[in-house]
Amino acid sequence: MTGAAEQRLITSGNTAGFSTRASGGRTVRNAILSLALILLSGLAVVQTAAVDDSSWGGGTLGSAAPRVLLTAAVQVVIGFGLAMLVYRLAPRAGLWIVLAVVLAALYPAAMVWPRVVENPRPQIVVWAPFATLIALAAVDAIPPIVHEAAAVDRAASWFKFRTITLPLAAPLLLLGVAFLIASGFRRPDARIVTAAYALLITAIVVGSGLARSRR
Amino acid sequence: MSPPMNPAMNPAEHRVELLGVTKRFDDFTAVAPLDLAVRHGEFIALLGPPGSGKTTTLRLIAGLEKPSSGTIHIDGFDVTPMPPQRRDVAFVFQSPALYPHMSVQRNIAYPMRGQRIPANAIERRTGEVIERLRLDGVRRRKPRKLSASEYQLVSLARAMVRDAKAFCFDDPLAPFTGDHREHMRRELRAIHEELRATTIMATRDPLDAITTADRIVVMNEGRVVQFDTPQAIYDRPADLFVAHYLGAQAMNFLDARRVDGAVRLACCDLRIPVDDCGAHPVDADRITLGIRPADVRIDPRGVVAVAGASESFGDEKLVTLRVGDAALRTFVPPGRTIAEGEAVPIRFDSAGCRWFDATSGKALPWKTRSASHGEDNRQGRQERQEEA
Repeated sequence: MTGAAEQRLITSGNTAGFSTRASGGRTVRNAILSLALILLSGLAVVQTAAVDDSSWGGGTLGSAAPRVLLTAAVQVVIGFGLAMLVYRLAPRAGLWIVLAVVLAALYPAAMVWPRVVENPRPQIVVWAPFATLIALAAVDAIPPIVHEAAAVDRAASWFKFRTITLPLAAPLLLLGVAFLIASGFRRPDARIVTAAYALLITAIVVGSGLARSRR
Repeated sequence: MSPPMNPAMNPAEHRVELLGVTKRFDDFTAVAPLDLAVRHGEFIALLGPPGSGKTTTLRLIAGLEKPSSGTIHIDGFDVTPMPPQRRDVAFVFQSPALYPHMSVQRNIAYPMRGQRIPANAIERRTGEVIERLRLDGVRRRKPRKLSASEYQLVSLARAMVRDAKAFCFDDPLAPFTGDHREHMRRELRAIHEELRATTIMATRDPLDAITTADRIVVMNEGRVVQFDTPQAIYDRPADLFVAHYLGAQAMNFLDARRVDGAVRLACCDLRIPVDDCGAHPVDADRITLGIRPADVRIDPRGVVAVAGASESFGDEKLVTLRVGDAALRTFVPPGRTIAEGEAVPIRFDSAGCRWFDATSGKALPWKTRSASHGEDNRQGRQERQEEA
């Protein structure tokens, strides 16, 4: 039997427990993504653009919150929608890399885009891939066998999305939303406060994830 | 969901039928051309070592894999292009596959939800299954709080909750050990007697297959080696692989050659007249004699062997005997002790001798004393081919 054949045997579920190779690959990829996410969020926190209170996302925590939350909500809806589309079309493709590159290119672009601070639309455009990336990570972290179980249990697409995909993706998604909100604020103090909350949520999510994996 | 079926319009004899199904992953062939017909209400075991294509076959039936070629029929309908959602095949996975965020009760109810089934009917049926599998104590727990055997029982319950056309169990007894495993075998069989649901179970444990299934499909390297009742497979293994794989104790194998009107064993200069062999060792030049430990008798008139190490299995004891350069295992009769190095005379029970062509590994055809036996066997095989 060749090496490739053996590998295929393992990924087709011949070992007891989750196939270590497949989930190992996912873990490494998610770790890299999380690192990128944290670095980008760090950038967002330290970035101190001189903005007046009338710009989008400008002002104190309280005054900017409605606009920032609205932006984040739109971003998440667009991002999650895109993520589901990508996941459906090419669940195993290297789109991750494409998205990461797009994101990396968009971030500096956001820095120099003059209208970005006054206008909500560029905000949404710039940060939607970020939301997509987080949503993809969340959706991809669901073990494929759970989707298979849902398929043999005759779950229709929408029903499966509602009862399985969304609840299982929720923790990571929440984390993404927290960081999106943090980066939505223009003033450094508002960012630092929300970023602190985001880090708290991260700690809770990671902690509960660790507790869950120790079965 | 599934189209209404009128038995009169659908006279399909077989519930699940695979016709020339193959499955290749890149350069690896998991399932070679495979024909398999499972009758209504039958319990079939796919038995084979890891990597023999059992799991892939189950996944093909459930629609979790698309065949590279061939067609799959359920109740006479070609379901090959259908996704799992439309096939109505329940599946128990070998790996943990419960929904991690749902309680046991919600996991079990899941296949009935989203199917336009009234809530009280779902609750009633879920309650019945929970009671049947004695899961009452854990119904509110999340999967991660379950022991491995409880987890497996919940997986079984989730499959059983609905009246699926076929049940695919992928090594369902793997988490159970010892007594518990024996109990679960009986339980699986009992559940099958109650529901009479068409069941296809993959297992690598011959005892699982023998104790639960109506018929066994022995698989090796993606092919069906033998498909018959447990007793028939035990009595007349189709080749050396089956002979070796089936049975609680491994079969002994001895090299032999055909010399004139007799078969001569290589190890001990023992000649057995062809007429006593029960099989036609005519075409084969190199022959392998297979004999189970129970058919090697300690008898003063026999060939002398030298006793080696013994192993105890609690109530029974096996001793390894050396005859020339061959090793044989046999049971130590109750009340007798055999010391290492002791000379033990042995005889072979001719009814227990199985003859194989050593080159191809295939069993040699039966004749004379059991001629009718062999005739039946061949006829049966022809019938099966016609069915396919």
